[in-house]
Amino acid sequence: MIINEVDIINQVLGGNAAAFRMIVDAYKDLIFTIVIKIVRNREEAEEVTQDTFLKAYHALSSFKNESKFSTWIYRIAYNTAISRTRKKVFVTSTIDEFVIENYSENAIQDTLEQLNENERLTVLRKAINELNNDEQFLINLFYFNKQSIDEICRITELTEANVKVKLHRIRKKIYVFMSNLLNKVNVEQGLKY
Amino acid sequence: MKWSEDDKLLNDPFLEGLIPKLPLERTSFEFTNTVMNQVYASVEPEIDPVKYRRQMLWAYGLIGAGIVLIVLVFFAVWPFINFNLNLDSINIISIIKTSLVLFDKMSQIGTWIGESTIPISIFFSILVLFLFERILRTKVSGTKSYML
Repeated sequence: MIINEVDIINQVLGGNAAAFRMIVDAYKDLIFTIVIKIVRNREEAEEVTQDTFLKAYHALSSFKNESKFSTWIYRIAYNTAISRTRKKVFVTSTIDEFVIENYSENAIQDTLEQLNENERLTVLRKAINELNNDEQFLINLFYFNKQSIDEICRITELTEANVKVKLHRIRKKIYVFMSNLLNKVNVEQGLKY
Repeated sequence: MKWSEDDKLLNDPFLEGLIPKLPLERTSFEFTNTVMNQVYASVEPEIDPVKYRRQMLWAYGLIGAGIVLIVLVFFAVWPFINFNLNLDSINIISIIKTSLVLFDKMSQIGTWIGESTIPISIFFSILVLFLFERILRTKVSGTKSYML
């Protein structure tokens, strides 16, 4: 974040509501991106994101700087989203452990390196889309929103060990899905010749 | 899995480099203005359904307890509510008669309330229950806030 969040929060608490616009602009897409992984509907995700900012605005005085502001607001977003869907996320993985453990990450990375960046991103995006909602949410928090394990624990109220195991499995699943996608492309290309 | 040794399993420079390059989902063009208009208009955020259901459960429980209490007290101290319905001969006339009796009894209840101090103590008890529930609910929702 380039903006000084503490200054902005102090301005808002001091009565300058317009300063809140900077927080909305800084976080709207980051929050929308993780919320849509849970609610899976653009309109509803936008409503949840709006509600997140309203809740944050009304509760701003309760933000005590004990955690990063991003962690605080992501937690509000997470709770608002799961409350909207009326279910707790985080179901167990369905992929076979045998499949997860039997492939080479390096081989997949080498194959991906041969593709141009757009193609790599396309394969990655498709692989991530095959993950469950909760898995996409966690992977976004960790790799995209740059939240630490401890911060993810605060947001989701999962234990540290649980978050680590889940992230490890999700990472493995991404490689399996990317491998499957690459194999599929290779087979299709082979059929053409 | 021993994570003190295996934390490195989470470190994946390849994914760390690639995932942030994925495009963000974008909110609508007017999103910021919509939020700010709600902020300026002091729009309250929507109550979480779970929290709302919890509050309503308290309310329904209290109303139910109040009704049960009233019925018990009324039947205990009012011997004049003693309908004698003959289920074998229910017809329109008997229903009308019963309704008239009911209106008559309601009128008697009104008169009795006007003359008695017992209903005052009942309503006072309900008021105390209501206040107790309000205080308790404030405490509970205060400790289970969605905020940090």
